[in-house]
Amino acid sequence: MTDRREGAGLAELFSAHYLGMVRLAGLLGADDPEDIAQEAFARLHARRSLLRDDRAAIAYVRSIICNQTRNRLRHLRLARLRRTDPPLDAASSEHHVLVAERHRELLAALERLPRRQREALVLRYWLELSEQEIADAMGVSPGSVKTHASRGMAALSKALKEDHDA
Amino acid sequence: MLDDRLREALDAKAGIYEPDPQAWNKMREKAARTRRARRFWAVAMPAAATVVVAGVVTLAGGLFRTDRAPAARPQGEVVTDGDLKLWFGKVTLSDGKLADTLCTETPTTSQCRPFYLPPKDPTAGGRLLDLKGDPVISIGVAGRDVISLRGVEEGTDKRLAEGRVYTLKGAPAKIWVMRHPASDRLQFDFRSTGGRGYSLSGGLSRCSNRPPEGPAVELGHGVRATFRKGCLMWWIDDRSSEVGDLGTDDDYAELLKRQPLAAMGYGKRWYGLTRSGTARLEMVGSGGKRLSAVAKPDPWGLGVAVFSVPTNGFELDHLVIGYDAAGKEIWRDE
Repeated sequence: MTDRREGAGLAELFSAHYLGMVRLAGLLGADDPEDIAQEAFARLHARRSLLRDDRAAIAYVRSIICNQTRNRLRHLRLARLRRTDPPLDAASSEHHVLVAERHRELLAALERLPRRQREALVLRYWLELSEQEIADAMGVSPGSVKTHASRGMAALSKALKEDHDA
Repeated sequence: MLDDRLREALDAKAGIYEPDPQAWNKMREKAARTRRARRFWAVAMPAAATVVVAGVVTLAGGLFRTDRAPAARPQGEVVTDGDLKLWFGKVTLSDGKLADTLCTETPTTSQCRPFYLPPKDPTAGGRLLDLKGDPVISIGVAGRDVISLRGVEEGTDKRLAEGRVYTLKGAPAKIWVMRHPASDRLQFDFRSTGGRGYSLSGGLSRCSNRPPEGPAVELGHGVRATFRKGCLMWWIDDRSSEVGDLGTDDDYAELLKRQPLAAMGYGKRWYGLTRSGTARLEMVGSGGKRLSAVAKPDPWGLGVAVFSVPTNGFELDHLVIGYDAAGKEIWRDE
């Protein structure tokens, strides 16, 4: 494959999947999802051989998003905690308010979950990935995905019940 | 059904994020930086097994690993500035291409760093800090049009130090050296031919301008930490390893109540800050292996504990458990 064709392939993948990857990073709790998504595609750029197979390329980007988000949450935690919530652009602020109102409890409970449970739930219920695909993205076994997802759902259910009972 | 509610909530939240119109260009810039970084690693870690990663210093907002000897052989002149020797070197990369490096040698250390010279601006290519160093020595690479350098106080232009700019025959760039007092407000002012000027200030961390003051916390196995006016500094084998600008107005104890762990570094040692009251931490790895670190309680009166432990090849994992002095589990961080 020539450099030019690889460049075109990357551009197509970027165009088709960039927004989805930003959203994935955001749902996983990244404080700067755009930066993480750009970083993931930049890494894909460095591994051009993956561009021969779109599915492999996207699976690779997804795994980078998971890893990057997890690592940043861990290693840059102090810096992250010092910031206020990431600013939302004006166009989306109204939407944000609506989301916050309708799904506030559930999203808050999701954010409180251990990181791997949250990852498993986002990858399963938002991306609708298979257990194997989730396992690849998280770098764990499919059995572990089942455990994390099941514990995550149980914890969400309990948290919502407690909120209502309170 | 909870499944459906969750799908709906995730869809709704996902809709918040809209892409930056400049995303493609920003990604390409990152890709270019990644290429430079890979080039750097190829320089810093040539197949020679003798290369030792000595530490990480914060500079220009990023982390730059530095390697000790063997330094690249000089390509041309060697500049002597006090007890410093500086030169440009070239290293052959694995793909056969040559990479430029700026090399420095002190009586005790030797290191090379790759440099990237933007077309116009001088670049702060490196910095040396000594635990007992006062003044601080800053070094870097500048464009060939740069003719002088001085350190001034940001905002007032009060002169704090004079720098030296060295021209090396046939070299692709110039080398600059400045010995200056530690100052939060130091600005590097460069002058170039034609009277043009460039300044570097914000890019150099205010913390990296500051040698440690006050007692260092000894954590053993060559690791110590200092904290002063919002600047947390980690020292590995008496060299500044990582600088964290924690700001001066935050309540860190409060932050660590919300998140129990702020692991600031992982390599040959695992070190960081943890919640007050934590006496011991364990990182649980695959197969149940555990890496245990004893925490020093609140050395600076900030309500945080500090820890460090050699990793001895333990692979970074994501489950960490904190215990109190009685050995009871008090937090879990995944």
